[in-house]
This record gives sequence, C-alpha cells and structure tokens, in this order.
Amino acid sequence: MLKIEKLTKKYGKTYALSGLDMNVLEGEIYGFVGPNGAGKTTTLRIIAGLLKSDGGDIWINGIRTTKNILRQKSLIGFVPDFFGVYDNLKVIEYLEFFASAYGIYGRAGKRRAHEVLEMVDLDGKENLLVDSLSRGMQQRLCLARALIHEPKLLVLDEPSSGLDPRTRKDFQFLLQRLQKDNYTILISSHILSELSDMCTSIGIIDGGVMIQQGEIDNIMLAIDSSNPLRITVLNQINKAMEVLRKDPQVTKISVDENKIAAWFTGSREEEALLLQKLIREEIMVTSFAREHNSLESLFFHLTGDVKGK
Amino acid sequence: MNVNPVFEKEIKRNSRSIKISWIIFGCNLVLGVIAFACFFGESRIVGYLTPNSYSMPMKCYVIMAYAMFLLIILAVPSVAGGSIALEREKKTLDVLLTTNLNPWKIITGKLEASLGIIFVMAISTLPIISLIMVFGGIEYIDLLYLVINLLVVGIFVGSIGIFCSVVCKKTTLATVMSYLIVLLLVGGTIAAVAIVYYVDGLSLADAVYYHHTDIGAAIYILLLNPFLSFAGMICSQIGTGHEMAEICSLLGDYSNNPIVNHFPEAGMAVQLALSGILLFGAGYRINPLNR
Repeated sequence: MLKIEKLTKKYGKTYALSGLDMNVLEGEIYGFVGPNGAGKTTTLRIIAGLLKSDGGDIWINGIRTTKNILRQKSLIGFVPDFFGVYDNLKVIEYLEFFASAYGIYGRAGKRRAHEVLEMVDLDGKENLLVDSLSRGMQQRLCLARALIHEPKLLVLDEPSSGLDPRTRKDFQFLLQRLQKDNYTILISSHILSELSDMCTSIGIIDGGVMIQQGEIDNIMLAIDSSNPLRITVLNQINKAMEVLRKDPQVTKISVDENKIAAWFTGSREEEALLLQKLIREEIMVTSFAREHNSLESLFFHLTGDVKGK
Repeated sequence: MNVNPVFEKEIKRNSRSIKISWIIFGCNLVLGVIAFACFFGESRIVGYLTPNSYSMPMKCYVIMAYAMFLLIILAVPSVAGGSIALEREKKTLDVLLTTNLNPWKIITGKLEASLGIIFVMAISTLPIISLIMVFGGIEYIDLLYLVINLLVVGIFVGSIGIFCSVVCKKTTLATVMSYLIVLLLVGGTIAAVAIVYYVDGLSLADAVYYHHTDIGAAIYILLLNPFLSFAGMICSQIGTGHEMAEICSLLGDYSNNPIVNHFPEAGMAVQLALSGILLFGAGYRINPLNR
C-alpha cells in the first residue's frame, strides 16, 4: 500500500531523514516508532504532502506520488498530532466542508458525512458545535474527517496524546474496526504498549533511518530467541540440569532455587522436544516458557544499539 | 458552479460570530446617526424639509460614503488579518493543506469571506442609504460606482490583511501589521509626496528664474492611496470631476498626463494589481511544498 524508498530530508545542514525505507502492506496497522527527533513527524508530514522531500520516492497503492502531490493527498487521510477545530461550526458542517474540499459537494457530501459519523460512533452529534465536543469526541471527529474522501491509507501522528486511558482504548478499538473494514493504517505513537496491542507491523526509526521493520510477531520472535527459557521444576533439579547440559543447543544455564534459566538456540519445535525430554525423565515441570520482550524493551534495545554505534 | 468551500465555511462561521454582528450593528448605527443628523438638522433650520433641499441629501451621501470607507478600512483588516494566522494558531491550517484545496483557493476563499462581510454591510445599510435618493441629486449609477470603489478598497485592504496573516504567525501581530500598512498607505504616501515637494521647493529657492515646483513621477506614489482614489471618485460625483487633477497640478505639470487625469480609475487599477501580487505571494507562502 505504501512504499518509501531512500527518502531524504534536510533542514539546513542537518539530515532529518537520510535514506528512509518503509513498506506498509495493505490492510495492516503499521506502528511507526522512534525516539524524539528521529524523523517520525517529518516522514509523516512528507507522506501527507505537508513537506517536500529532498530525495527518494513514495508509492501509494502502486502509484508513484512523488511528483503528483494532488494524487497523493487524495489517497491519504491525515490526522496530525495536534489538531484544532473550528469554532462556530456544527459537526455536520465541519465534515461537509472537508467533503467539499475533496470535491464531494452537496447531497453526496452530506451522505458521506453521515456515513463517517456512524463509523466513528458520533451519529446523533451532527448538530452540536464542534468546539463543544469533548477531546475524545474531537479526536474521533478528526478521524471521521480523515475518512471523508475514502482514502486508501490513514496516517495518524500521535493520535492518542492527551487522551485519557479509556478514551485511548476506545480509539484503539475504533482503529482495529477500521482495519477490519480494510483500511490500511500508519500510526506513530509514543505509547508502545498500545501499539503492540493493535499493530500488525512495526517500523523503528532512529537518526533518520529505519533500523527495524516487519511483522510485529516475527520481530518479537527474533528478539525473544536471544532470551532464556524460564523453567520451573518441583523436584530433581540436578537431573533437569543434567538433561539441559546434554542438549547441544543449550549454551548457558543459571539456577535460582527451583528456577532454571537456559539459553537455548533452537526453534519453537526444538523447545517442545526439550520439554518432552524433561518430562520423559520424570521431572515435574510446572512452567516452561521463553522470556518475552515487550515492544518497549525492543525499542530500547534497538535504539540503544544505534546510539552505541 | 461550486462555491469555494473555504468561503462557504467562513460565511457559516461568521454568521454565528458576535464580532461580525457588532461590525454590522456599528456600521448601521454610524450611518443611521449620520442620516438622522443630516435630516433632523435640515428640518430644524427650515422647520421642514423642502423639495429644494438638494444640498442636504448630497452632504448626507458624502458623509455616508466616507463613513463606509472608514468602516471598511477599520473592519476588513481585523477579519482578514486573522484569516490564516488564526488557522495556524488553532492548528487547522495543516489539515486544510492536506486536502485537495490548493493554496490559491484557500487564499481566495478567505478574501471572498472578508468581502462577504462588506457585502452584508452594504445590503444591511441599503434602507438608510436609500434615504438620500428621496430628494434626487444622486443617480443609481453613482451608487453603483460607489459600491465598486468600496469593493476595490475592500479587496486591497483584505489582500494586505491576508498577506500579513500569512507572514505573521500570531493573529494579533498580523492584525496590527495590517492596520499599520493601511495607515502607511493612507497617510504615509501623502507624507512622502509632501517631503518630495518640500525638498524640490528647497532646491528651487536659489533659482534665478521662477520655476514651478514639479515632483515628477513621485506623484504616482499617491496611486497606492485608497483614500485618495476614493475621494477622487466622490469629487467626480459631486463636483466638476477635475478636482484631483487640479490638486495634482499644484505638484507639477500633469495637464497631459492621462493617469493623473483619470486618478480614481488609475488608483483603483494599481490597487487591484497590487492586491493580485499580494494574494499570489500569500498563496505561494502557505504552500507547504515551497517551504
């Protein structure tokens, strides 16, 4: 759906983006994360047509939009990090205005406005003044506004900032529902736990380059494999240690009372076989699991690496 | 043909805005007081209004025309000055720029909205202005010419306001800057010509032969002055029509100069051209791809 190749952007002599590559597949929720100043907002603003890149290419829905900004804008629905609303304007008028800004006039605009209001659960609020809505509702209205012209890709820059946890969760469910409706969503956020809950893929940017991207499960698995297996046994801890030591894929073992940490390089299937081996030796295993990484630890791990280099 | 969405949105917002209500109220109040003072004053002197009281509606027309000019000069910068800066302050400009609306359409929509206020003002004051038609003396074509001139003033002042609104980040600064530029155009151009006239006079003080002061091409600075082109138009309606040329002849020999001889029209043309340049500049400035 979105393909970015070697995107560069310079502010004065400083490179904000130095050859960024990104690949967002159709129908996925792609979490875009990175430390402050990494180039997230610059990237999103270039995608939204609010900034001119200095180099590189952007393809949206198979169309090279780098030189066709109008086409790019019609394919994208953008929700900025700080959004404002107009005073003295009703919800329906606000949406009709944006519909006409995309060339959807009159009845068609009104119909589409009602459709998007229903999509974001704001039906019934048509005649309220926009500035009288709560922040959560304004955020949903902003999303409705981004959906008004049926874009192929939704780009959201820190959409949850300033929202309370419940509203944030509601917004998350809303995005997941949109994904089910076949919308592709690119979202940047600092709330990593939220992203790990809803994203299907992630991209981690640092220093203007993409340092890791792909399906979130695969990335986690790859990182998890460097974590130890945590095994808890009720009896025969020495025998369990012996079984583990004999396994060529166990590189290191540490013990704390009846808890063993074994660094195991094998695959998921080989992990299962190891567990079978322990049980066959009549060792009472109460827990056997690979220690998991959170997106947060992955983020620190990767961005820390880049800083270290 | 579809209406500019920005214009439509602004008109809807303005219709609910207390600021616009005050502007319209103020405008009608001022014109109403002028009309009342003129008619009441005349009838007090004579005891009643005679069919021969031609000078009274004429005076009333002139005062009302200048009052409307003043109201436009005061009202339009306050609306246009905030047009883009307020969008920026409220964080709505970025969202607007991500739509299919091109910057030029956004700018013209804002200008149309500012002019829309003048239009509403003009329509709402029609009953008061029509009072001067009761006794004759003013033709409909004169009123049309007045409206056109006021529209040009509105476009010029509105363009200045919008340009300032694009250049300045804060609404207050943009509005203040708009007023300063308008003041500079109204007062500053006259002051500049006066200085040139004075300097020219000094250089001639020691001349052996009598020589008439001639400020030459400096006279064209006055074409930027919306007040002078407006005053020239009013003079042409109630006087001989050569008043501006006569005033200019004091500054030099412009008897065969077609621009000076058609000062109000030339002034409006220059102001419209400058408005175009300012609007183009504003459109260029807000285009994110030009940053």
